[in-house]
Amino acid sequence: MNLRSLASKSLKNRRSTAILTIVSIAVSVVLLLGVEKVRVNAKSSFANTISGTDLIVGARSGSIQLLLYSVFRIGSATNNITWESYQDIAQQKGVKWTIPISLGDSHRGFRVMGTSRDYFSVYQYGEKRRLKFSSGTQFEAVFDAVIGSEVANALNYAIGDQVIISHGTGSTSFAQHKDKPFVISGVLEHTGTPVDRTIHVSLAGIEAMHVNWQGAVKKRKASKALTEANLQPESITAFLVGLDSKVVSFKMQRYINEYSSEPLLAIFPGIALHELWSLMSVAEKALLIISLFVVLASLTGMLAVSLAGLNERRREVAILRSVGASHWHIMGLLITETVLLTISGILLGLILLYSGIWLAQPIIEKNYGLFIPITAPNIRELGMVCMLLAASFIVGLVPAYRAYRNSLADGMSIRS
Amino acid sequence: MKSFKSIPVTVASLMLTLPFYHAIASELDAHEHGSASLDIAIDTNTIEMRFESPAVNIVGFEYATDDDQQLLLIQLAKNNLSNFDAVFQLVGDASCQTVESSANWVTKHEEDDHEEGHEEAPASEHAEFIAEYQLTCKHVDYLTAIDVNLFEFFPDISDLDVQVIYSGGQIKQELDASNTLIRLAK
Repeated sequence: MNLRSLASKSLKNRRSTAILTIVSIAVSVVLLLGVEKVRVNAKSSFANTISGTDLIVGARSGSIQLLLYSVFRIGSATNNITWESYQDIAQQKGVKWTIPISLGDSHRGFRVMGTSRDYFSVYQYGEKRRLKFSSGTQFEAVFDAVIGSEVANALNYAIGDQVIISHGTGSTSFAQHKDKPFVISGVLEHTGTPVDRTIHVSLAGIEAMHVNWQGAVKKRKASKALTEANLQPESITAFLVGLDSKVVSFKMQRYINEYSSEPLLAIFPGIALHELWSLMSVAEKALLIISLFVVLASLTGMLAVSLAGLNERRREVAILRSVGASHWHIMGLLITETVLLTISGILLGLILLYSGIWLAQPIIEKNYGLFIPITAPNIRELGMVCMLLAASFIVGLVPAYRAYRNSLADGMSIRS
Repeated sequence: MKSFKSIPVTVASLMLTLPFYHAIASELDAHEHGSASLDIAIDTNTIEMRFESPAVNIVGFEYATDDDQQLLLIQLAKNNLSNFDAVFQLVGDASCQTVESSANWVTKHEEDDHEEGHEEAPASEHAEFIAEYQLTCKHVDYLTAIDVNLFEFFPDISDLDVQVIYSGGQIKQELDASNTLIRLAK
């Protein structure tokens, strides 16, 4: 009988403690790898959200705040920027394109973003990918709306459906623009970015729905024809800038940051994202440290269980010795036992992790906009698992040594 | 298990304090003694660079002077700074030529965000060195890194905040005397 089957049979005999040990290791594996998966995917999903944009311009605040509200629809702007300033900067030499962004309204928890038609042709995400329509087209009329794939899925909307937009960004709002419903003209393909959770309308549409609608109190009266010409917005929330050449990037940033008629802030999205990561790295490290301590706790638990079991197993050890097992056999048996427990724990942990991801995937995507794909463990994760195995081997040495010492001292006699 | 309780607490307090520290540090970037900034923009065979540093890092003082020796120091610093090949080294076979380089002493009147608080001087004066470079390259894509020698010339610069905008992305890196290489990953 080899060591492995002997170890597993011995473990079977102590089923309940073995199962508990496996579960505690499994939980630590889920935590360790789960944190890693969320961390890596959060990073890549953030990094993939914007591409090809040279500058983001908003009211003067913090660079991370501007990045979060303009691109990720997290938080809100402290101030708006005037249409005149926007037009002035958009017409500067060296500016290739601009995309205005107007935020502040929502529809059933999804943010509504006013923008120009250029958005659909110029905006890039991931590796310079452009937005595509899965059905319909961009907005043509003032009250047309283009929705992201997740809005379409979650609310079961299709082209031609009407959307009533609420004032403010809560999921329930009492101030609704009921008199001016929008009609869905297009649905975008899935991008894995906040675009999926956004309802896009024209800037004119945003203006139009607020015409005759002041201070959250509706004034019911016949409104005159709403055409784009008389619906030029007074202000926008932020705008994205593409430049002719990257060489002028810093000059343009300085020009905007020192813009005299209005306090503005221009940021480089890549650099702001980098600043965000350096903030987040503290939390990331904290999570990693906590999960490492959980691993440590479960290994300590396993050690305690196997040390406590040793006394009860003196007879087992003695019998094995009597049938010819050497000291090395006994040590090998105990080390094999801990490694077997850890391997089972890791396997159970992986099963729990992947079924957990599978179950939670849609919920996480809907609530946090974070898509966690089911992918094989990467090298870093495999490394963590191997470290855990190595640690369990070392932990196994402790009871093995004790059993070795005991078997020398005890021989066949059993002290009562 | 008791000791585990304190770990999340310590970590949580770290999480609370560090971001604030960071925010303050970047707020004062405008004029922070010991710290300097370098902006590099690269596109279609042109490289533009701008180096900004409080004058105290470069010559050891910031006040207007007519002392001959100090004026000489300023002139020497200008000469060193405007010599691109002395203060920077391009890595990779990009075949670049310096088209323009300049280094200037610029005085800034700042009464608000002042870090050191010289109370005896009511309208305190800050001076900076601003150096600008423009290069044209035959093969800018072959440029793999830029080595910064500024720390050798001006040991009072303790950290250099570098921002690079190029085809590979927008990157930010902090250099110091022991870490002087800006890597440009493709």
